[in-house]
Amino acid sequence: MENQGHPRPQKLKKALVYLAKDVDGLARELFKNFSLFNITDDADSCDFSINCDAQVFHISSALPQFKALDLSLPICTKTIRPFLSFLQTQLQAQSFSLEKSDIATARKSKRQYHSNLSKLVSSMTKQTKPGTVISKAVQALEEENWIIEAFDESNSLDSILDKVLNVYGFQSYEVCQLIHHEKGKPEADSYFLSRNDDLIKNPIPTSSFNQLFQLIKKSKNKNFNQSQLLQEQLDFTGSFLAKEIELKEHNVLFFISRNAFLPNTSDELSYFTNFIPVLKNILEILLIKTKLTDREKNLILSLNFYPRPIGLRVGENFIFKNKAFNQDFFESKGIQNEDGRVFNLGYDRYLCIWDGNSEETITDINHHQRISLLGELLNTLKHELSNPLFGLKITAELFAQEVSEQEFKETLEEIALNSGRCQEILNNLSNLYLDTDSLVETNLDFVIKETLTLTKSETRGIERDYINKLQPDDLIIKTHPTWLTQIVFNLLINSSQAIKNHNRSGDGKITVELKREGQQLIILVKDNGPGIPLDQRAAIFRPYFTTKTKGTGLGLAICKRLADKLGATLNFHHNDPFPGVTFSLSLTP
Amino acid sequence: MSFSVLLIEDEPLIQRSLKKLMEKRGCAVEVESLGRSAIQKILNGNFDRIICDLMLQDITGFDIIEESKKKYSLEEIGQIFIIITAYSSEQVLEKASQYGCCVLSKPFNDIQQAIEIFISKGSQNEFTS
Repeated sequence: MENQGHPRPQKLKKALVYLAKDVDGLARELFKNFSLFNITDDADSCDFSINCDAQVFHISSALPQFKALDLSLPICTKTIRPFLSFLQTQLQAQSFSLEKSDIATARKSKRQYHSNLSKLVSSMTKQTKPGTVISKAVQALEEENWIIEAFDESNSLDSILDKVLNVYGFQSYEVCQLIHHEKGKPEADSYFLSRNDDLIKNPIPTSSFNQLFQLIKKSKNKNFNQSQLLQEQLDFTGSFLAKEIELKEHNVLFFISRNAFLPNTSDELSYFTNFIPVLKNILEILLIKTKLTDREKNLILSLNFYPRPIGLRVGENFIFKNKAFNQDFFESKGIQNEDGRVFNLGYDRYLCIWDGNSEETITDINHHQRISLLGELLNTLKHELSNPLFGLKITAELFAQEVSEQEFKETLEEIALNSGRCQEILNNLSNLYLDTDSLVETNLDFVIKETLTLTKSETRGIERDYINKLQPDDLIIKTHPTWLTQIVFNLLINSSQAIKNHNRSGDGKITVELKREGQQLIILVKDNGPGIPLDQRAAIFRPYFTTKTKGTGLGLAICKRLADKLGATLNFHHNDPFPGVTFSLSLTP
Repeated sequence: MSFSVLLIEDEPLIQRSLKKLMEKRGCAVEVESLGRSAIQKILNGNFDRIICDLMLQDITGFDIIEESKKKYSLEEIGQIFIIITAYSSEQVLEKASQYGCCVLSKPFNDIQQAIEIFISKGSQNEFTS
């Protein structure tokens, strides 16, 4: 009872993923860190397996629902992780796999289908004269095969009626109609087919559908004529057969008529009765199939909002282009059509992605996530702290005016002053983390000081020195304070971690220096840590490169990228004399 | 008769101080921390000014104003109510302007000026910050 009234959060079962041997190094790490699935060593019992061929990952799946979709080979390269995770989120959000109950229903239907089919066929051979039994039996077998073939091909309700009218037992009928209502939808869909005519599709209000459904359900007889059911939704003349079919998430009405007043014979009636269970199985399987195609459509819909062009080709022709796939994009980014990456999905289908320099994308997205998270956090913090701080300030001010004893007065004034100072720090921090793209006048001295405050706890136990060699006039530059803070912040964190990991007890030191060299303003962050090994120097700005056990490998990549965006250059050199390394950020005001 | 004020604010220090500051200026000040009891006070009482925080424990200041429509016309609401808030986003300002209320952002830069606005009679719109 403890869970009463609260919907239980749905637990997602994590997929088991097998990584082939050729998925190695960085890529292997990447997949292992992916929290959306579990890695297994057993190639036979996995849900997905991933192979690598010339930097292209082939993800294949043994799950039946993926096979049914022809989506069995979504392929990604290791450098488009954002897309991969995006795709994964999408798949999860759409709960792309069928629910267990759906699969069970489909299986049950499939089993019943064949037994119902043989009942239908045997009904044809009954009640016939002994001499014709054999020819009837042969005909019945042919009929069985025909039905299996015809309906197995059907992928939508559109094609069902045509097949129904061609079933042997219904050859004398002229028209049939199927009305389909998915529970919870405001409308039902009517499909009406007359022999030698095109299919007519139109919507029917749920209320009329329900009325009709109840009428037919209550009737013991399946035989109807217009006087009984004169509904504007039905398009028959004369008598007709009708039956309701109840499925898990759908209700269906099925009608068939000769468009004449001749009553139906008992043979016809028995064939109809036996056909209904078969039709029920067919519909059940079909509707589960459409459910999956609907989800595939949703997925394609969501690809529309991926910020870079994505297209799906069959052969040379694009059958799908997302929103970003337009001339403007190619022109503004100076990207050539040929620069896109093409992934073979099999079945002559190709997924094309233009994600530009993918490394840029990764750092941009990660940086953006960090900033917006931090921004949100700071915003909440600011609002939650502002109120009590303000209360402290005005109360202290009020009392300071009222008390006469000098010591109390000064203490209260001090409290008011300090509350104000706290408020100021909060305001400054949230100004630093404004999520904008515009440049603002920024005081470099202020940026460094605030960042040093921010990293106070991270650099505990390390001596810190700040040298400002700039003239007051040089301190104010037009720049993006958030990005600048982020760079200095990351550099400070990196240095302090390097010092700590190196286990230098007590004599760690970080120096931040501001100076001018010619036209350039330079921010130096200098540490006395272990430095960077020779073989790693080329790699340190690459995304996902890290030497730390818990690092993401994005810190310096983000710094580099932000420096580029600021029009600044970020470099490093080993200290002379060793030990330690100095990073320098050169800004051109 | 003295100017009667209802102050709805759930931060105890702010509540006390503002009450005291207004009382010094000769106002009769009642205070309330919870939105629902404030609504009762508004409907049963007769205040010249209602100063209302937006983020309360139970409901928002806008809910209080909505309820007060039972008693006051929209024009009166614009005259009587003053909103004080630490969340002065554009949406908040826009919503407040629909009621014609004056909005003061917390923390106030100048407390004396804020008090002037609180106890001023007639339209406050000229003070809107």
